[in-house]
Amino acid sequence: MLRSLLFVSIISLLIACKPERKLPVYGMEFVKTEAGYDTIINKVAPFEFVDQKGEVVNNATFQDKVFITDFFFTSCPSICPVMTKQMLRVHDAYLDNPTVTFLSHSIDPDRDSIQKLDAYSGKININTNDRWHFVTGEKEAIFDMAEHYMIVAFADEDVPGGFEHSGYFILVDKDQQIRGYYDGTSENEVTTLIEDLAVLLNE
Amino acid sequence: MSNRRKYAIIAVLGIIGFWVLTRALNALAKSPGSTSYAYNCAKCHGKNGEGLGQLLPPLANTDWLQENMNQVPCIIRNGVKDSLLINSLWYHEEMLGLENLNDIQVANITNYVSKRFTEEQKYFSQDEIESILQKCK
Repeated sequence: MLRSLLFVSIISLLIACKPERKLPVYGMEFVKTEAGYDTIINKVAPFEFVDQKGEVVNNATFQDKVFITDFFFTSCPSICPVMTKQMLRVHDAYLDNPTVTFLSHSIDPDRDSIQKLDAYSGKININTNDRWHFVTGEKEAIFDMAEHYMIVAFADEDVPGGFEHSGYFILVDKDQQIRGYYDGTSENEVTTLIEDLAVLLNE
Repeated sequence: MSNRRKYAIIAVLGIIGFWVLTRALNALAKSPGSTSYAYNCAKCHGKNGEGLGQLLPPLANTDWLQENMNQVPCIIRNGVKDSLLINSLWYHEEMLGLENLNDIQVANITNYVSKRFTEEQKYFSQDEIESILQKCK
């Protein structure tokens, strides 16, 4: 009797003490100081762009919000259609949650004007909401942001569309810390992103 | 042999037979085109050919496909740069061709699309596909 009671209590303690899953924080640096080691978390750098409605979009736009960001351009025939489709999945999964927002940077700001971005958002039927920002701006500034997020993006004449870029979706939390990278061309990884978002929102 | 053992053998053979039957039916149902389509086309056009808004054209229930199946092999191989009017909506985005697919794969996907998404369900022979591909613009 006592033994089985002990057994049951040990098992229930183990179950109750299961650690909650947390998403990693990317961009942590350990800096040696005189006192020892300091941890610096590199947050998203300051940025300012204009979205498809002509509104200014910067870090303050995402205060108290989590956002998913990527780099694309509207005349991209290769990976962008898939990325847009997958981003839409995430968007639709959290349709009722205004904390979840999206930031798609155009790496072809010369051709992707505000009107073009607005037309693009119209094609996927989300031009009535203000949670998904398609932004354009100074080309240098946009490429700088890509580099900052460690996303490959550069002009290449030999590639269809004229730009080479990676298709990662980056998950950023309310403190503007990077919490995840997911291949936007992979349905499975985007499913993981949708699940990870739930974990992040519960933090 | 006891009755019990006989029934046991029949039961085991029955289970094996049932399993073989389901595998065979599965293999018949999945034409090679269905796997090629799932791997090469579904990411944009959707598993059920539903497309995406006005960005990625649907394949299911479209007027364009019913009338233009003959263009499909060239589209698979070389992509599309022209704007297409599908179900009264204009689609302007470029599609890249899948140049790495060989003639047989192009034929399989064409026949899968024809069977699944058109009423006529025209079947293209390998010769027909190759002669179409030779004349692509």
